[in-house]
Amino acid sequence: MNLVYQTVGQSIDKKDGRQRLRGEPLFSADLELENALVLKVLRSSKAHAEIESIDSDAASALPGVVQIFTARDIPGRNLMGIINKDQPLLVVDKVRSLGDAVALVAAESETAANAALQAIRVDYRDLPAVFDPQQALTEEAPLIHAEGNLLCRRDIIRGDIHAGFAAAAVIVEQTYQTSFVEHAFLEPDAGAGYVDSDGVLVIHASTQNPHYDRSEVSGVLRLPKERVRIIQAATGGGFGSKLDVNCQGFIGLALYHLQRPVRLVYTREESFLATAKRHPLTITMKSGVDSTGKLTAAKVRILCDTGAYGSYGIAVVSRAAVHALGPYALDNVAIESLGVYTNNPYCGAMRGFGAPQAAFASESQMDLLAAELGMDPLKIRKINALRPGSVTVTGQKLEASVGYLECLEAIEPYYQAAKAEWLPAQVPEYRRRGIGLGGMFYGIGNTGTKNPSTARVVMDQTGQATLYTGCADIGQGSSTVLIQILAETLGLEYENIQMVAADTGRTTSAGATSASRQTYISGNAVLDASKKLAAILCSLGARQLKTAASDLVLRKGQVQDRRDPSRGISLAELAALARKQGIELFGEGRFDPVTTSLDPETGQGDPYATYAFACQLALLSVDVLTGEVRVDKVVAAHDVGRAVHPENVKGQICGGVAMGLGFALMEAFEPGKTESLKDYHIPTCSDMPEVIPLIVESEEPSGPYGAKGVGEPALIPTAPAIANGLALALGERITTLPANLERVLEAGLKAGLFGA
Amino acid sequence: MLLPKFEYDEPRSIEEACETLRTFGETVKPLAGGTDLMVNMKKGVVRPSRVLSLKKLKTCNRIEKLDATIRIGACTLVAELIQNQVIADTLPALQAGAKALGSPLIRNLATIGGNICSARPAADLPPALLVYGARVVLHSQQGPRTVLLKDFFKGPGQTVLRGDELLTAIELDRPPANSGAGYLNLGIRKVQDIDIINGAAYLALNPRDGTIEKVRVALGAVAPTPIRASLAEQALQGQKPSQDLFVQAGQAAQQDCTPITDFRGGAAYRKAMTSVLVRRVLETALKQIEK
Repeated sequence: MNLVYQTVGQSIDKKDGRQRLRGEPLFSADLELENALVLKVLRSSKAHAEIESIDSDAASALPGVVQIFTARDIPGRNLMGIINKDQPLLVVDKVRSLGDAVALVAAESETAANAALQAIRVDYRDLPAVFDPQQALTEEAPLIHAEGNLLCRRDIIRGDIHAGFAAAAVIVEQTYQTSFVEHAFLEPDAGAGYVDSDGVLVIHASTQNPHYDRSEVSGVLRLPKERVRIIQAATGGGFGSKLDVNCQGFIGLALYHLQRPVRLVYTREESFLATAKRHPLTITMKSGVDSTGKLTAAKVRILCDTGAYGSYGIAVVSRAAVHALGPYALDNVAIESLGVYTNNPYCGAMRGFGAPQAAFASESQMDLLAAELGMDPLKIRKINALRPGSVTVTGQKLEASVGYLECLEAIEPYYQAAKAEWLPAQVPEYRRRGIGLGGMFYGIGNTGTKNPSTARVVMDQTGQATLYTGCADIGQGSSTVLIQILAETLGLEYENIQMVAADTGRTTSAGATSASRQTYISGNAVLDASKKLAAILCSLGARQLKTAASDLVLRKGQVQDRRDPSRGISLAELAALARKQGIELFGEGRFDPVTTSLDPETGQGDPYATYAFACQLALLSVDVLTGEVRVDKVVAAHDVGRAVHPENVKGQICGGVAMGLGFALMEAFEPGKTESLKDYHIPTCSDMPEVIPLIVESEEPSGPYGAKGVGEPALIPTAPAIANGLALALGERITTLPANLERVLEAGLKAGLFGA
Repeated sequence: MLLPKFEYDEPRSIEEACETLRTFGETVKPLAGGTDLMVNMKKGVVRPSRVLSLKKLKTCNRIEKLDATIRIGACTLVAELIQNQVIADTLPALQAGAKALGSPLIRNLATIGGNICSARPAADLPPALLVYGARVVLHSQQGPRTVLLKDFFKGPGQTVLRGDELLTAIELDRPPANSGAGYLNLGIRKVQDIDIINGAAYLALNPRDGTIEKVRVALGAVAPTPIRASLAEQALQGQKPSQDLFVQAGQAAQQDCTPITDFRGGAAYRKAMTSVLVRRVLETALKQIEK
């Protein structure tokens, strides 16, 4: 079914795209606030230590220093966290990692604020620290939080793994390790605020979730929610890190006490040091397959190092378990996923929530199994692919929009050509070529929990529509997509639609910009709101056109008779009429995907209403004398349900490939060592392969115009595709990421390739 | 991050600059491209009370082809080293080093003199300059003195440059017809990186018997300063170039270096890569001669 829509499916000009190119949107650091104070945070220099005293007298006496705040100044609940609350805004009695916030300085200038940071004296008493999650689980390990070092666990038990392994012709077992990864978004965290004439604390911030920010800040300050207003400023990327309250709490605290405009802008180094990282995962995976290539059983143990605080750790632990075995049908599984506190930097949400790490392991296993069977890697994936009617490891039966096979088929011609022509081509002796596949599935929205979105569409007396949504566009393009959905539903020109977004004073909650959920969930909320407004317009039109409302459609700014488009009435006329009659033209929409919570013991349930699917193919070459890897090409097929904005989808895919390539080959955050973009390596243009995005549209019946999501799926298959390509090139598998120069060289040496 | 306060001078001649250096001594920092100085001033790593801008020193940003030598003004931009035809034709390894340095934005600001004076062990230009036998001209109120570049570096960030001296030019002998040179670098990513290791080689062959008449090999990021790999050079001197010889030279070069381990790369890896890099730059140099 390929309906042609007016706006949906068109790569229209991105909302605010031109303004962005002209440098017009204001980021938090750019907001002009009269007489604003500068805020700076004093951060822990210890990984685990009790605080014996904080002496800020000398610092307070410095010229230009207005006030220095510590935990004692916090009027409300000094604990934050969207899932579990364990992270103080300012530490109380001890620090649990480098970079913990110890004190907050408000000063007239940056110079004064920096001088104050130098002058505050903190006496620490060192505590034993633990940096290894396995060690953190032992009896002797120092306690990081009073409740113990185990944050959470998620088990998924299904079928009988003993029987499954007994039926296997081949069993492979391997342990995989990933690194801490920094989001490295373009704009370091920032915010600015003031107190308005009603006494409301107004905070502009670089954020992915303004409504959560409001509840957290009002909780910390013990203020009613109405007394805090969060407005998303133009935001230069987030990738999950800006789901945590980073600057907002500090700004709120200073506003609360000082009633003066303030601004807090992190340096890049502070953003590296003090915000969440991607969880390093240790994954041990045992997989069995019968002689026909059908998976029979898998046993998985996942250890997620969440560092000092939970942040989104519980979600990562759970999602890593659900996605541990990839887009394959498997009847017998035992998955155990643990989230563990250590004194490492805290880990939180980052594009994929544990799924990228899991895919590295499970897709490596698929290639290992295929090799043992002497089977083509594409074939083993096809044999086991989830398809309509398949049941997932959580026991969820997939009904529709299961596009994994279509993705594999889209990749196949590129794969076969690479295998037949590119791979065997003559190259210098010190070079080796490899090709690799990476597959993935990804549940859209939060795992087995409610995560609704709301929206409001209002039409004024001239027939112009305004969309009110809490959805934070952080650069990925959700505003454009939501307007397209509205425009399509109301038959309006998208250029004329106004938008108010991500302002808790003017919009209702759309939930977090995370989990690739905004197109599907907020898109559906906008669709619902638009349909309700459309119904009002059609019933008004029905009276004017003397036609049944059910025979009317909205098209080209008119309500028209679907059988005779010449019979129509413009929305402007209808809006004027409505005003005369005292009818308000608006629609309020809501959507919460249909999910069930996972059984705490067996992990069985329907955690997501829909899944995205993808497969990527990487072509790469290795210099076996130096370990240098050049990824020449990535072909990326993604089932997005429907591409509401195809160019935007392609942009997400290309960006995801870049991030996945960094994860695969070079990124590893080490506190104190790689705290700037000089020392922490993300790929540059020169490191990027040619990317061929292939959009697969396996329409999702419950999605807005069939759409699902692509934000995180874009990145997930890249690292496994590269890892599998490297294994083929080297004849030796790398199981620890990043596959940096030394690891690649070592793998080549093991395979006997050195000295060519 | 804002810069701290400082006095600012823009002298119009080398003499004027030297006078300022003499008067204010260690409290002055010369400013060329500022790609290193500005960053370190913002970080508070260096805190000069006076900054001496070199941008009005007209004589310092020229590349001159003289009878037997090439003279490169210290303020010549790295970008200019890439574009300049004299460099491309006569000093291709230097051009390769320039191409490997930083990003286009950095190359449009950074200067050859700055890259030398900051004396970073992994700097991209010194290995190529070392194999071309470069000399640096150091000016003070007493006048100029010339120092071989290989004697210029003392340690990371340390050089023989005195507080009252300014590096004004780099001089190199024009390589003879039967010579060639190459430069290579290796980093975690393809560009815009601090090298894990870099290196250059220069070969001049005896036109009669094809033996190596003159050889220089230099390495970066494998010692506290850019170094000449003298054992590698000894292995090559007077020999006929061959694959086997280059492999031997590469192995010898491992004994020339004393690398450290940091998050970019381990000492063992750096040492192992010395052989590969030396071999490859020698091959590049030889190919140039054969061309």
